[in-house]
Amino acid sequence: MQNSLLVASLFTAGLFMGDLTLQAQVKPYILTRYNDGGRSGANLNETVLTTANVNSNSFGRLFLLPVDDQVYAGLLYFPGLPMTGGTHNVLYAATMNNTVYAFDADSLGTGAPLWQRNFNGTGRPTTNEDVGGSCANYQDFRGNIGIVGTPVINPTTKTMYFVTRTVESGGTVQRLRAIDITTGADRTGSPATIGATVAGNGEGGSTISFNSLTQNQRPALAFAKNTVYISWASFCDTQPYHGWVMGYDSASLAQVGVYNTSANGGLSGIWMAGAAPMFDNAGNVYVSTGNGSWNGRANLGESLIKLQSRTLKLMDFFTASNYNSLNGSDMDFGSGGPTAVPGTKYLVTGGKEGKLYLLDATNLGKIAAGDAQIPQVFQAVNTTARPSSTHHIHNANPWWQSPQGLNVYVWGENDYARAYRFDTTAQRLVTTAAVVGPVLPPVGMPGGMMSISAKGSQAGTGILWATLPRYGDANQTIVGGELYALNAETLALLWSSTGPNEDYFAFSKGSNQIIANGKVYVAGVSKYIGVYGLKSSGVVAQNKAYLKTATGSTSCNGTETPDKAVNGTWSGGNGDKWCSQATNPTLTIDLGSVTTVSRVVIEHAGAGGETFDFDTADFTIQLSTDGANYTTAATVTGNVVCITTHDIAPVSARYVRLNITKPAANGDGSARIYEVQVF
Amino acid sequence: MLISLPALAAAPAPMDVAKPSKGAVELSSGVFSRVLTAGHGTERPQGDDCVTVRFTSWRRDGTVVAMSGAAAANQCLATAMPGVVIALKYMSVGEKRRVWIPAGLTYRPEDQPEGPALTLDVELVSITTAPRPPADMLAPPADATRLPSGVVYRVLRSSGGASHPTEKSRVTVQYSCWTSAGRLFETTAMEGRPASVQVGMALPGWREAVPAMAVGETARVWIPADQAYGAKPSSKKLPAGPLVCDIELLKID
Repeated sequence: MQNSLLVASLFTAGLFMGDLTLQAQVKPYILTRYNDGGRSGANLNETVLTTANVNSNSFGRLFLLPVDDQVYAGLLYFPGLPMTGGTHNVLYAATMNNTVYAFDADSLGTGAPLWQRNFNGTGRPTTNEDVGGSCANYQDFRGNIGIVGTPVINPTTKTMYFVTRTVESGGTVQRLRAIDITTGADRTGSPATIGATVAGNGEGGSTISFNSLTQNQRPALAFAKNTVYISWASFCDTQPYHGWVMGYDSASLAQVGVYNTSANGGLSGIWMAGAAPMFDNAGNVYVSTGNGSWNGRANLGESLIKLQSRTLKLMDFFTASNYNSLNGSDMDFGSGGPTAVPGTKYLVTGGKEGKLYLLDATNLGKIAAGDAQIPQVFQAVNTTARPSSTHHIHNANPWWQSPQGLNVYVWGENDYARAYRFDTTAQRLVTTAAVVGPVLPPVGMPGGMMSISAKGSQAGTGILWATLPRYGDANQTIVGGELYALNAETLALLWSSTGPNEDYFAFSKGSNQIIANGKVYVAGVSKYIGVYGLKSSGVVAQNKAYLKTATGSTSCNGTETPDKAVNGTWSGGNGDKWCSQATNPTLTIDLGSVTTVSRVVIEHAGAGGETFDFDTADFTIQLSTDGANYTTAATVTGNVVCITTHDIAPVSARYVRLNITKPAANGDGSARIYEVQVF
Repeated sequence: MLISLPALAAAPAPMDVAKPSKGAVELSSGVFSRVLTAGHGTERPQGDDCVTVRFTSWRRDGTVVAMSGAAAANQCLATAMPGVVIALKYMSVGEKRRVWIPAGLTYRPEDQPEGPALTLDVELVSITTAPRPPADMLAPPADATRLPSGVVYRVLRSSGGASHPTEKSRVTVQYSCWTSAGRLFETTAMEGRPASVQVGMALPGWREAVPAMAVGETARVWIPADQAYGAKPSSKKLPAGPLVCDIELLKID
């Protein structure tokens, strides 16, 4: 048997695969989901943030970058990019309104991006009402469904690739876009309308054609060896759908490869909760599939699949031997995406059972009873804290070569964060966690969305960053989000975003935060990107309502008073909100002086950890310059979301008044407001 | 590239895979079993215990469905197949049984009214005992303290301490919570690992009760539905109705 330590790694760890120019530089290029082609999820060039300075005294939210819609796609970062007007560290975001933003990553300025461009054209984004019929009232996305999959950037040509989704003339169109990252302008050949047909009898005929309506472009795009790869799953398993992978030439956007996971069957979507396909050094593509048909040939549900670079010919696969029972109990193998074990020929992937599979990328093993043919499988998510709950692994598992050893991090549903050590002698994971964190997430989906920052393997620099729901199950609803920082060596809690004005508002499931040059960037679904860093670099006072004078209808008691709605926090319990049982209660905030108001964010009961049934159902937002004459700026009825964002045509105002006509959807008579933030 | 598919290296099905053989005993609900190897001890899995098992399962035609392989699999009774739960409750550690489970007591594919009948060989490797519901969980004693919200608590073990958290505190606790039906909802006891909890983001009942506790104290807290997840929670993953929690307040973080 070869000594695995002598075998050259099949994977690059660290910088973006295939670009030798970047490998010579030490900058945090985050041009793809989870940092690199092996999907380490780690920025190892972080020289600012350490376990010593990430604490509530010195670290916090610096500013919020406004965008036009929810953000589910992962963020990207290009340092030192020469653009018209100067050189910038650029943060890229893509929204569900099919808009792409390029922001100066280091300062808010006026809040305006370096550039932004909307790609709706003559159409509109899909909405949740257009899709997901199998779930009756589909709510896994709420509102627009435009750009979902994380884009990818070709560093050599400085081109960004992403998929837009629009409804035009009654039909759904998905397009691959290639744009200049310095201007947003289309490259030659862009856009390319997405479509494909493969041989297969899975839908009754002899071919299977790509269904642009039912196919959900969820996974991140990926780029290697001049090819852009796009993958698809479904909306709530609404059929007909298959797992698709398509490859496009990065220059011409000509389609060069197509693979269908279930051509003679159905389902088997490539979901991975937004993670990206993984690459080896040859540019071969690795994806995992969910519930669906399996026959070991044309149908490979519940599998890890290896596809040939560019052509996407099937090279190898692994199928969980219990795929039948996984299918039967909706325990998708492919709820997580694969990540390479740095410096080895192995990869890991995790699924809804909470097991971690260690596979040999040179021989995935196909299928055998008991999975006896693969290097290792074990229960990585402990089931005992909430024995009747689910224990899924979502997204992907980052790696870090810590001073103590090589760790992979797992934060499954209803369990603590855990670091498992890779034994480089045995070439196996030690199945008892090396360290365990202290925080149990709220009951439900999805567990922790994780990233790592460190200065190489230096002690005291490794930080595990994770976003989680602050309360509630993120499945089929919107929940408040919380950013955590854990010491990656010990998993001790360093900091979380519960302090005043440290909010990034609603949780974006499947979008992991990125870390670059001392800042942490977090996407949310409240139309903001949260930017965090050392407070010494400058905290921008954006919330115009913070600590301003608030008055309101009679409070429920002596502690749940109007001032609590402008104190910048949501985590302080019952006494951290304004509550009133008055008929049609009102809350009025005096901003102190006339200023321009363009957005109001309200955090209702569920944002503060109370039942979502108490979220404010019907209300209006009114503005006034003199406190006597008000103009209605927003009217809301039937709200069921715990954090609401209200865009207002910029107007001068000094007073912001919230008028509540129905305090809660369930008829409860108390109004409960944790925060009103005014921008 | 043509990929040759190896034959599935199946664990050979036993001769009696198709139906219970001589010596098999009906446990209940059509579940039959036969002891293959005796176990030891008197402890049996029950309630919300979790177990580690080695197993192989077949359809009645001998097709392998799943195997634990060399490593034992973790399984909590709360989420195990109903037929497996029936069998496990009769087993002691080290015991091996062959179990015949009728359709309807296995897993159920989404598009079918019931799942397949299965035959399992299962070995009970270990039991992790879940904390048992307290005897007084349905009715707090008269001397328990009643709070304005309807939350009731009783100190089980006093610490004599004077340090109390507030709603804004983050605390470290060991705890177990049960539903009014006596089912374990969540616990730190089985792994023995305490949890760090932001008091202000905990259940409303916790927000009221925990600040009333002193560091080092253990209390039992009866939480009415409207101070827990409600009578009809927003998610089916959440327990409906009142909860009872035993909480040990270890420290204020």
